[in-house]
Amino acid sequence: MIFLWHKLKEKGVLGINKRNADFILPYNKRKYYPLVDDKLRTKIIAFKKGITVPELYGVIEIHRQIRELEKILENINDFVIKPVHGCGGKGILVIIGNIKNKFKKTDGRLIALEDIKHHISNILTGIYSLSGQPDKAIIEYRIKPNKIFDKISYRGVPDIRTIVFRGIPVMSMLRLPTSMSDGKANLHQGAIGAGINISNGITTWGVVGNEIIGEHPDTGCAISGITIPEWERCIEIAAECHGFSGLDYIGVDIVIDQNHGPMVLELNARPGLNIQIANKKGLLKRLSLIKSLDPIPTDISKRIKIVKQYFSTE
Amino acid sequence: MKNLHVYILSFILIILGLFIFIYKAWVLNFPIIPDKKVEIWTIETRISVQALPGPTKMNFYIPKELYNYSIVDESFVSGNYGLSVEDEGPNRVVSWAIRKSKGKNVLYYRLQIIRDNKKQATKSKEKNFYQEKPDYTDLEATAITALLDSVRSSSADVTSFAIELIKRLNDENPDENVSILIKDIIPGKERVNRIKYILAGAHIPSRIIYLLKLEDGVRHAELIPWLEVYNGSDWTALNPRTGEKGIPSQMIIWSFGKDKLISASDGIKINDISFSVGRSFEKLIQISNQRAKKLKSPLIEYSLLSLPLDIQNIYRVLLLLPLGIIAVVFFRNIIGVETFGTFMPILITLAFRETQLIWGIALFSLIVTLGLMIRFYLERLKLLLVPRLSSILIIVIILMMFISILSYKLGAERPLSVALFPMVIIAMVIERMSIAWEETGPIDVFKRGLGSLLVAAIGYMLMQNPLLNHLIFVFPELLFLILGMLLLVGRYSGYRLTEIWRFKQILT
Repeated sequence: MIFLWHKLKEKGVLGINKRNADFILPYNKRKYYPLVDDKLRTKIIAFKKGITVPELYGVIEIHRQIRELEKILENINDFVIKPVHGCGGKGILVIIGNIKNKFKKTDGRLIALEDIKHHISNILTGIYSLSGQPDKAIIEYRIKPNKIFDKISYRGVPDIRTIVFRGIPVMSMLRLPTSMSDGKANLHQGAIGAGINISNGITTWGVVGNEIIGEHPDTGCAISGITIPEWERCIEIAAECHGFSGLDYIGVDIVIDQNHGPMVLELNARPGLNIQIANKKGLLKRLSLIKSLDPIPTDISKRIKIVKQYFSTE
Repeated sequence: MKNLHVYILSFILIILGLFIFIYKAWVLNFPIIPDKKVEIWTIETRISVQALPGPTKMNFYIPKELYNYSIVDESFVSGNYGLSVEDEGPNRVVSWAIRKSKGKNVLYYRLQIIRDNKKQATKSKEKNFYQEKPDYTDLEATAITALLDSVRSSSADVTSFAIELIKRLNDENPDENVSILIKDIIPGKERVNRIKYILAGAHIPSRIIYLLKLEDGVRHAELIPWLEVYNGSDWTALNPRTGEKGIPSQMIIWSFGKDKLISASDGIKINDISFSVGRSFEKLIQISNQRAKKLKSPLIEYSLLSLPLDIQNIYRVLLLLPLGIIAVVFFRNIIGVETFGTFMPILITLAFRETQLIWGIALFSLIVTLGLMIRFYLERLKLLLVPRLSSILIIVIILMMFISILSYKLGAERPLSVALFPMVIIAMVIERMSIAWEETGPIDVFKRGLGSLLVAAIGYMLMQNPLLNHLIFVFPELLFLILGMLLLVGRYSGYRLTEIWRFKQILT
């Protein structure tokens, strides 16, 4: 036990206590939390700062606005409707096509506009929100994951989690949905976490729970050695998110869209530590290095240079 | 810097807590072990007097300090008499005075003492006692000189000299000199005075002391005269019959160097003076409290023990919570056990207090499982939060009712106490579990559910521990200690033990 303790310490593995005491408490000011906790606010601010986000078609805040739904959906074929404060993927309605005033769901079934309105009405009453408060519904662009992920994900949308400390990306992992996780990119529920060499965007290996795997359990395709498209842009976006969030220690979730490239999904003020297992690497050495940098270059390209210089996985 | 601040603060808190604890435990003698009963001796002196009309005054010697015993309480019943108590050397003297006395009166002095091995009587500051040689009659002088010379030849110092002398005086076949000296002297006070008289011939200071034997249920105890000799630095007590050193156990010294314990002015007649001794057992905490009150310690005047009993009982329960909190903090931040909510385990623990541990865990699991099943059904109905929670609450009450009735019909006693479970807490547990089930999956729910039960069980054992229970109530200053330790844990940034297992994979 003590032997393992020292080994972990040597490897620079960050524990929850240390993360909270030395990074989240001193670096993340409480007042900036609401910004990242509200996905709609994050989205709007990120958009204003010129960061690509899934396009927002419309927000419905009160029942009266449901009448405007037809107008919002006039020129769009596929879209996603979700509650702002929802969690665990509840209340998300995905429409992949529009056929003769009927809307096609992912499972191929057709529903009417009235059904969609009813769904939105349910969202507004707060059925899907955790705290039970009245919620808002947002209608946004449906992400079409880059084709490169087709072989290594089971339905759903894979995303890339990057820890950003003082504006410098520190470590990344790719989260791949599996049949066990029911198509969700949630590591707790059995999604794969794959390590990424942050300097070049090539995946290293995958981890499910605490087990290291080489192939995706559902598709059987190799997880390692995949170059994530537009990787440089991915970490640039992650670094830019630091600027508007006001938080010095964040997790940035990015998806790579077939048409629009990397997009920011959401930010997390208390990112988990599983990323270390996926990368088989401790965060602490990299974080300490950034801690000692003074000042941090304001130019994004210079920050990316630091990433490439110091954080290359051998 | 931040750490230093915390360290200093917690250090101060821990020291403060420990200091008050040690002071109360060792100086005020508060019991560290729960329900320790101690022997308490009650000595009652009853003085009955017959007074002629007119002003009268009476002095009575009482102990000032006792060797190996502590005075817990004392009281006087003085009737119409005015009372004053003053120190007089190693004794205290009670003066009863009255301007117009009439007839018969009974005065009482009541003393309560407990054994206290640490207690030493303070030594008299008087150091130089000089003993004049009395004017002996010719006959006495010859006998005493011969006796003393012979004793001197077979002794080394003052004490052994006195012992040798006592032995000779008590010899069954006394020699001539001794026979002359102790002729007509009855054993007891007169005998001690005679020894004093002879010792004075060798310039050895000595005095009479009165001992009282502590024996339960004695109504008319006699004070036993004893001898003390001064060897130049200390007084040594000697048995006037055997020469044995020291005072027998279970005896206390009532007075030093006073031939008569009671003296009265003219016009008053002391009919009778009697000592009765009784033994009782009391909880140490009460005695300590009494004694601390006598010492006028502010720690006692402003302590929980000064509160009314019913409020004390509330604090008995409230003060248990910090013990549970220790368990929670330790298991969450050091061990890394995940639980539902921060203080949920403590609330579950409070529920266990009524049902006992095993039944508590069984009933809790049963109700939560049943409730969870119904909650999954409610999920389908898509209810809003408040009505949903309220429905769960009512379902929990129905479940509890059902379990109680069923178990009663089956003849089991224990499950009846299920009614004491805080149902609001259980409803919240069910709600949280079902949300976690959706969000992070059933495995996580089981893990955190078991974690909560584990912490609750440990917390229960801590809170039910009679020693801890007693310590935290009698020494609430230990809360400072707990607070200081919690501050330290608050800055603990090492691994949680479960994290070692969690991150083990990184090392391969």
